[in-house]
Amino acid sequence: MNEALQQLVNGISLGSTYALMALGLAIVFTIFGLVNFAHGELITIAAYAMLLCYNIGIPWFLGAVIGVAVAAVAAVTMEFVAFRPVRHADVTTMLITSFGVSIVIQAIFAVTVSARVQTATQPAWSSKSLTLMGITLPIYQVATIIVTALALLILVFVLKRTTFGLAMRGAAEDFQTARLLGVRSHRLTTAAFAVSGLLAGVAAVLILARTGGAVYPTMGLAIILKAFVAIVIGGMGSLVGAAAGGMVLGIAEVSLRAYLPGSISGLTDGILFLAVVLIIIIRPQGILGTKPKLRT
Amino acid sequence: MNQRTWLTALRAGIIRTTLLAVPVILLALAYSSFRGGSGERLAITAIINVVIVVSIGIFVGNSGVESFGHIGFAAVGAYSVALLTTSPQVKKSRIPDAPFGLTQTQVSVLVGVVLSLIIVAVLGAVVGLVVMRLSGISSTIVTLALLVVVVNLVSNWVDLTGGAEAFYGIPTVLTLPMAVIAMATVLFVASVFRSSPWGLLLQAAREDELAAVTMGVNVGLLRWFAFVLSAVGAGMGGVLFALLLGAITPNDFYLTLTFLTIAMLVLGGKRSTTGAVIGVIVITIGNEIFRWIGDGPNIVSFTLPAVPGLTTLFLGITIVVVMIVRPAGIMGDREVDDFTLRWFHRSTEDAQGPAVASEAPTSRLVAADLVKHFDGVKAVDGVSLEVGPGEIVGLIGPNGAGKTTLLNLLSGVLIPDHGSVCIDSTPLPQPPYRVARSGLARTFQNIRLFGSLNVSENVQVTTIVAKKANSQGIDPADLLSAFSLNKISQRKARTLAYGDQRRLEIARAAAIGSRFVLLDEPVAGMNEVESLALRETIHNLNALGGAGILVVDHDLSFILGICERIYVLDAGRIIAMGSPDEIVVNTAVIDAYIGTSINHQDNALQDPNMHEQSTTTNGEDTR
Amino acid sequence: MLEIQSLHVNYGSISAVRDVSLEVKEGELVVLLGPNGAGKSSTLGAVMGLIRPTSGRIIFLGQDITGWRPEDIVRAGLVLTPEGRRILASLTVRENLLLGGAIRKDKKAMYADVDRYLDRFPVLGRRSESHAGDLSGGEAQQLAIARSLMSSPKMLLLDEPTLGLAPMVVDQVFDTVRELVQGGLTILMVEQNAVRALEAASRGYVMRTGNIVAAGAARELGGAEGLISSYLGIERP
Repeated sequence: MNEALQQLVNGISLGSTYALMALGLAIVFTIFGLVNFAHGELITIAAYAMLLCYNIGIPWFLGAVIGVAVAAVAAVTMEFVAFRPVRHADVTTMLITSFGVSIVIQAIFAVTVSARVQTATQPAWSSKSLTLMGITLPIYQVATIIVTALALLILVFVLKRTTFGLAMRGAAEDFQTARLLGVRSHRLTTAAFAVSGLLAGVAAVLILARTGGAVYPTMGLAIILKAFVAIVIGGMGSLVGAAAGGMVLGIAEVSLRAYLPGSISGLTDGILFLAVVLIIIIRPQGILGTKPKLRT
Repeated sequence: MNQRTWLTALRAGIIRTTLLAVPVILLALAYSSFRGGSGERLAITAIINVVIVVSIGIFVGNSGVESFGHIGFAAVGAYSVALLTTSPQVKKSRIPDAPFGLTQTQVSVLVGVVLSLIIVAVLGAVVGLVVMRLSGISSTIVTLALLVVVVNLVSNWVDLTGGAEAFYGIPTVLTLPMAVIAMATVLFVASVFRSSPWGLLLQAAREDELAAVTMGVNVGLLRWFAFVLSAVGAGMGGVLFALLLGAITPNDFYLTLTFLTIAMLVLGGKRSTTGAVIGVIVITIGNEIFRWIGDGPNIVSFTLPAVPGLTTLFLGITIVVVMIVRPAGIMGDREVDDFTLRWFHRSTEDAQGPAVASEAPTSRLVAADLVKHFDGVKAVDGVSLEVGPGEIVGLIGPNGAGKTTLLNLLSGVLIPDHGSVCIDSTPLPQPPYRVARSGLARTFQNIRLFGSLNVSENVQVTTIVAKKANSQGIDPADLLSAFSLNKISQRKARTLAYGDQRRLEIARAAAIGSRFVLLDEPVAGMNEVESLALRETIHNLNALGGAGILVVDHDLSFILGICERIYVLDAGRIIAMGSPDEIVVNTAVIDAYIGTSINHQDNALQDPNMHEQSTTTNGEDTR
Repeated sequence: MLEIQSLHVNYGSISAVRDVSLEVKEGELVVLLGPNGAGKSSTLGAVMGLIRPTSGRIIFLGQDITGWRPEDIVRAGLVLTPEGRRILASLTVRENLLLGGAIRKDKKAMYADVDRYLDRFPVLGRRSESHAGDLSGGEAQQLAIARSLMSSPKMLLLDEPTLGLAPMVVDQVFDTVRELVQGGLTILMVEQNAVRALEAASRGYVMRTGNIVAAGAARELGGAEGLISSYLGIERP
């Protein structure tokens, strides 16, 4: 029983990370129409920024804040340099462009720093555990859940109660009508990218806590695949779906890894992705998506 | 014009393969003699990349669906041939507990290659079934997911594959001539497919899927076929790599190779076989240059610092720059043998034959009590109408009346909530692509031509389908002549003037619409002169095969001038039906269009000859 | 207040609007009539900057706003209530109104206006916290108009406000429009319901296949036979 609860907490913790990533992807997708392959690289950028900070002696918390900020700036830069020029192109062109950007960023880090894993020193508490009602909970898991919950709350608050959030929700539903109400399209797109960067930055902090500070150029890639899959099962175009999809994926992954016999537990990823393919076959629009009207 | 047949495709295949293979062979030979053994190895690697990239292009270029997962098939191919052809001694030490008795099995290289390709083909067929049903982003993400699944499986099924570490001992029997033969085969297949009738149909679906379906193209099947072909080709590439390297790891067939092949495909142009080859050559050369720089070379007496990872950077930048500057790639959709098209040009000036089958149709299109709701709104609320053979019937109604929905119901792309659409007493077939094949074609309000295809190709799509569906041998040249499109038959559809585009859309529909043609706002945005020209086109259409025609439009003078019978739709219901003369004086119709009147205007409407009430119209036409 | 000079709008090779010139003076209600496909919506779209005109000029309050972006035109005081209403279904009624007033700097007055409009359109007031997607056609039209008014525009472009509405609701819409004009708002309205529209308006233009085929005082245009000919493009027997 305790084992199960522990795994549940682990699952929710992992799911939270995926939810943050998926949400960042979904925000850009609903407003800009782009599935940003390079979104994972925002995590990598934040991680390297934090690595640099810790290596020059900046305290952990400040480094984390800087990391998040750097991710937001990087996202906005990405939009300006790489995506605005192809804004009116078709979906595949934008997808491939983001793919290219992703490769470039990975390569930049491999070239300028190293292709090997560096360690960004994590604070002592992140590797400790606390015992609650007989269950041992690693602190980083608890922290992840709390931070994600907080981030989501703030996001929901901003979306529901500020003018800015209102403009975003309006634009996500109907970009053109939002413009007719005076919403500044360019600024809003930039803002959407910035928010996605913030979310990726927060995810990066949590991921580093989970992995003990492992920083390497391809770290964003594994996560982005999961995030993609999360928004597809949650339903493209739905912010709630993205978060839900991420959570489901995280819990499923932890459950599989825990309860599969040892020899094939390495197949967890494979099984998960296969399950996703099956879900798409049965319900192509995802759990919360809408069906297209005309049949082809 | 160039009619697409399997014969012309074979001819194109031979020419293109020769034109592309020869330079590659020459380059390979030159480089090997220049650099010896390592040079030959690089050349063979490049040739294998050609195999892979061209194969991916068979699917991506023709269907327009992006795939990031084809390297998964290469992985399967490589590991299959590795497991089948490596000697049992090596396998005993590497994978002593392999399932299916593979540790003890060994087959000859040739058998191993064939079996591997069969395995890949089966996998491709199964995966293809999934991919063909999806479109756009979902498809792409699924292919990516499958790559991850394959690599994950291979890395973790340690008993079978030895896991993430190298599987060695594969017979290194690959020579340059063998690689060249494989490349030539793939080039040939890719070229033939791209230039074939099936290739054309798939390309049409790439341009506009809805239009292709309503023209009778079985998009799903064609996508599946192209996917399987491309999977086998990619698998072949994997097989070749295994036989070249002698030792493979799962990581060899994962993201790095995916980046590389996508960069090569995109640079050259995903729609062009020539482009694929060019992409491979340019990037191979570029890669070598950057690798040389990155290794810290000696230039004169000066040593540059070593910069690993430079090649990947180069790849990524290439991709981004190409997408921003020239998304179609170097070649766009042109091929090296385009200049030979002139050799096969047919003269169309003398086309005199009948453009469609001579047997006049006798069917009636009958819609009964159609109802369709959208989110609680009754878009179509109990509509019944008929179109008889050879009739020209009009459908008019104010904005929001439900005309588009009705047309979508009549053409089978929407399923009614109640009621039915039948040709004689047979309901419209499903899925939608069968509707066209039973002789009902349509055009669209926002013209849906196959933009990158030329005029002749647009029409050939439907003549090809018509031949398959009804064995009706309509000569596209005759059809083009009948609609005065022969002079511009080589121009890309999207470059045509508006009136010509409308005419082309109708000509295209004519080939497959042997019984009925539904025209959706054909004169939208046209002036008087253009409308008159289109009126003539519609008369041609009617005269050609005797098909029944339903015209939906807002231009009332146009409708009144061309239709024998007119239905009037308002708020989802038919409020009137009659001849043009009857409709024009029908109060209900005028009300629907101009709005309910409440005072003296009433009288003027009921008696059209009374002008006294109005102050300015002294019998004048205020047009 | 608004002047359109020789406007041409092409979509690729389609000529949707051909050499259209019209003007709307302050305080007027001018209607733009014509059958569908005539280019009325394209004209409004070009004015609002949604579509780039091929040639011609659009002058609003003395400023040349040709080629301006919609969000800037809104800030200049010209607002469009689009065809089909285009309310934001995932937002509540109140949120739709708030978004309409988002560009205003005087926040206090803006919040007061939200309450004012919820008051003035009681059906909106009753459902102020419901999702806008639950509203009926007539309610949605009221919301769309109220939302447009929230930015305190000097002039309103109305694109087919009575489209798809029941006759009684049509009455309400026209009443509202009349009230707005009486209150000093300048309006250019595109309508298919020509007879009703001309009763409310001072002047009108009739478009057909992209051109203006008739123009004049509402009373003059209202001649039924003339109107019918303009719409149908033919003489009736």
